[in-house]
Amino acid sequence: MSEDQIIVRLKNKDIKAFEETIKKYTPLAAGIVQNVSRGSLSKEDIEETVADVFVTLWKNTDRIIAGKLKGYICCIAKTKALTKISSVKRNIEADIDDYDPEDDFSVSSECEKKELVQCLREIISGISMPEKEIVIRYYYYCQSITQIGRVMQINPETVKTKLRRTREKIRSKLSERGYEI
Amino acid sequence: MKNTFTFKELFSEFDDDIISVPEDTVFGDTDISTDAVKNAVLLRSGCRKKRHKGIRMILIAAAIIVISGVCSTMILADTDIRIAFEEFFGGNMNSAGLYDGGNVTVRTDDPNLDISFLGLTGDEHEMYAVIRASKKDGGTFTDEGYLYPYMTSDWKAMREYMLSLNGKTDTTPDELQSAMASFCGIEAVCTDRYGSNFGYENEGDAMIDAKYYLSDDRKQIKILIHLDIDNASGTKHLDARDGTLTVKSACFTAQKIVNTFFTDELSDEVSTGTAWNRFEKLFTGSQESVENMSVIYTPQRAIFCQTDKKEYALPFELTFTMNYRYNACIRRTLKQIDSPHYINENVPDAQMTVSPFSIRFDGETDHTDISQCFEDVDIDNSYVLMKDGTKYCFRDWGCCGGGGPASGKIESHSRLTYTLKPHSGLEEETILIDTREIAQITINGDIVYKA
Repeated sequence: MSEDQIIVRLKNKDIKAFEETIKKYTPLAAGIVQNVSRGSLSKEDIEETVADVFVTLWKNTDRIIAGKLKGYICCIAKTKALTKISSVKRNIEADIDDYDPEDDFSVSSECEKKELVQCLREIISGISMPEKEIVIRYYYYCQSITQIGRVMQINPETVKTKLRRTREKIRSKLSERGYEI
Repeated sequence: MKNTFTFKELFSEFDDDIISVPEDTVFGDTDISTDAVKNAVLLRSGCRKKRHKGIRMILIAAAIIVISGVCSTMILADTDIRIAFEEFFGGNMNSAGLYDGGNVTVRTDDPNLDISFLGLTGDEHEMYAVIRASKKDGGTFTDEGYLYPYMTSDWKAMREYMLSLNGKTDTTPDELQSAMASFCGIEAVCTDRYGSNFGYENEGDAMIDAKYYLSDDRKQIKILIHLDIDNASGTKHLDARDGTLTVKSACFTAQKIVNTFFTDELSDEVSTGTAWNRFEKLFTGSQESVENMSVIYTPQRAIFCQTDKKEYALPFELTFTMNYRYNACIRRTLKQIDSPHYINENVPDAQMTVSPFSIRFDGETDHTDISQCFEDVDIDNSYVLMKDGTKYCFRDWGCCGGGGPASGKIESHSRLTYTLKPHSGLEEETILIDTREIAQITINGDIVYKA
């Protein structure tokens, strides 16, 4: 089944499409949960959280937008991971090497989120590799700097530097378009 | 007004194409079982693929004979009850309404047939019984190849059928008898203690549903018989409390697959009939092919095929007395004040009968300004509480009945079966419970029974 077909069938509560979705995206959802939790959740907790993700997806198939199934699953996974961490009262033990003082910097705007996302998307599209990949791994897949460095075979300090510089570029371009950082 | 969003929030809204990275480098070293996740998700979502599902099918033939296959599993909620049955049914008994034949007899005229009664449960409305047969000379029941492929060892049924008039109003008793004889060889004969034949035209009829389980070597066969004494087509309720019911079988039909059209995984698609739509498209304009269509069920799939059919003799007669009072049946007369949220006003008395597999309510009133004697069951506020704290919910099969201004009275009959969780699907297993262990029954928040 193509992605488009899966989405249509999910909206029609097709169980086969749902099973295929689970099979395809379990590793991704598990990766996101593990990344967000920074290893503070046990395997059983992760499995349970991943199951929560797909149960939530099934209940909200009407919210799936064409072309954004993966993103939606990742979004649910991040939320569920944080909820799980909170429920098991675990503290995320972050490696000092992963510490990023600007991890949660935010953008303020009087515009709707949709417009802001579109703007950010255009900016990101214009960023060259490997900086683009670094920022996506960090903000979308919630990978730590250490993980990114290992996967991309880049020194973690270099990852930090590239991340900071890319963020500055994004901040500058957003400011040009009237957004406050 | 200003909105504030973090980068992480905004990135979550990106299209899949922009976030493309080699995914195996995202997942890390998580060792998560995808199958374990899938099973948990499907169970929690209520999507679990059902085993032993069946569909009701109508074969479009000249005689418009309604044939349907029903397959159901039952799980037994009490260990004592559970061990009373071998596989689905069979084995020892307990006194919770499951008995070894105190009022049941099974016999055969075939001297080579060794037939035994394994177990039965029921009330005066419904009965499940299991018998087992083998040949004294060690012979097989069918010729080689006359069985359908099976996937697991716990289902060896060759075919299943229900003799039913559900939804069918223009089939005469003769036509139905003819269909019954040709497809399964079972006749249902209802007699009272004086020998009168109830039949279809009198007080009502008995619906028979039987499933055969053939062993791998085809030398042993078990038959699960389900009798529904209440007439599903809505005619008069059969008062069989003081009568006997005899089920006779002369033969059964076995099938050999000769041509497979397609198979379908057993899922909601099959049960909702979309597989039937596919079948119809295949055979548009081909009346002959439609008439010869068979569907064979294995635990995992439905096989739409053509088969060669043969009849094999298996004569037996099962008789049981309808006036048996099961130890397990709890009976109460309820007033409206006992259950103000369930029993409608002006219903002077409602009868509640609690059996191992259902609770029935029967009511009657001469106030015809109401349509039914009972309110809808609030599934979230109705349950059975056992002495050990176990809680069972209900599946509401609705309220049927009749009457009105012309007759001057309203009759209502409702039935609830037990489920493990509320709002279970129709394909969920049927639960049997040990009624001796019931502590309390609540309907719509009203406690209608307390041990």
